[in-house]
Amino acid sequence: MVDDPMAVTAAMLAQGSPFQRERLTWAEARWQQDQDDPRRQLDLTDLPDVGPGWQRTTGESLERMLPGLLIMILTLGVAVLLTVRRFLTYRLS
Amino acid sequence: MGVIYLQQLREHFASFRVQISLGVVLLFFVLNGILSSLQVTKVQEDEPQIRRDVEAAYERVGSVDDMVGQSFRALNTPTGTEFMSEGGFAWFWGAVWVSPETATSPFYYYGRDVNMWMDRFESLDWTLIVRLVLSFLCIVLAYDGIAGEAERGTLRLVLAYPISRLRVLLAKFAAQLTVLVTGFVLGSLTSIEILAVGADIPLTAALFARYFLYGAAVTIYISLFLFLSLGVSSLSRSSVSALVLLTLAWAVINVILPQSAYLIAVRAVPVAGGFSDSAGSYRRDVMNALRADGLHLAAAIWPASMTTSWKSATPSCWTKQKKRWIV
Repeated sequence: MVDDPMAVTAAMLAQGSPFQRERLTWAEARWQQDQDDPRRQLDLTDLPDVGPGWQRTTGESLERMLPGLLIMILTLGVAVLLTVRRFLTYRLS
Repeated sequence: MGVIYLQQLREHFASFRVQISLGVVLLFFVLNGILSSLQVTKVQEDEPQIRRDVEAAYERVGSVDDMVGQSFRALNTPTGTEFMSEGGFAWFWGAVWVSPETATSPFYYYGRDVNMWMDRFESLDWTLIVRLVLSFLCIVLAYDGIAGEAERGTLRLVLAYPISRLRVLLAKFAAQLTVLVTGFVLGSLTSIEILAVGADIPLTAALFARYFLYGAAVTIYISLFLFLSLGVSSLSRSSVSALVLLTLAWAVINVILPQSAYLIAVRAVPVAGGFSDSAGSYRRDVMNALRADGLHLAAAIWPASMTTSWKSATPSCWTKQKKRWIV
């Protein structure tokens, strides 16, 4: 980094000047540091693959809907039991 | 049992009430077929263009640096059975925007206290027809199945047959189920026919496999409402009070319960933080690592008076500044 940009003169910016060589050395060191920095590497190996596998299979769908399906079937069972029980003892007036 | 079943079936199909009901079901399915055809056609027209746009965005990227400052779309894909169960395809997110800088989507949707899976103005799919129309027809068909016949005196005659009461009940149920399943099958096949002609959907074995699974679920659902109606009918002394009770139960099951499902679910099931939490902690780790290297990002970007919550709410601004500092 240039500590005082306002103090830079035209002579300092001439090609091959000590100032320019120093800047070049700094930039190369910085570039090398960036190359070695693991944070600059993008690892996409765990990225979810968008392909034909996006859709659930029937088995997976059934697995997901199983709790709701069980509640519906159990409720149906209770409704059948209560209705049958009530109708078997239904008294005609 | 067969005699009672056929006699009940004849009565149902001869009834003006049932004929009107079946007509209404058919009308709903025809409407579903027409509207779904229009929607499928529109999706078929739009989809290639959207895909091309997404692919073009990826093709413009040659290196990691190119990705900085850009957002990318991950699209959802039509299942091809939206006419059966729309499942939020038309109104839920069509795509999630992801920024590689933060690995988070730039915006979130937050439903305060409503079930966001159940939109207030639902699409006219088969599920809506079955859930609201067919379930109500179950009540219309069965509310006087026992109480009404007892009032008219016909139940006494039916019970005079030399068969058990259980068989009488099953014959009544089977006749009512036949009427409703007939309505569903006729209506749904009409809807598929309209879609095949209007939107050129392929009539594959996979589609019919899903159709049969759907039909099985519909049969269970209808059976539940029929037994509920017969049960309430047998508990009530008059068919009118049975109808009132069943209408109330229908409103609770189809309107109140689904709308309050969100409130019940958040208390019953712990919600994991998921992706946004892990992305947030990763972002914090990166920020702390940069600070350890002497890159005090926050001090360079925000005045000290700004709050942490404001900073976390503006990730794109933060990352653009971060890029300027690092590069």
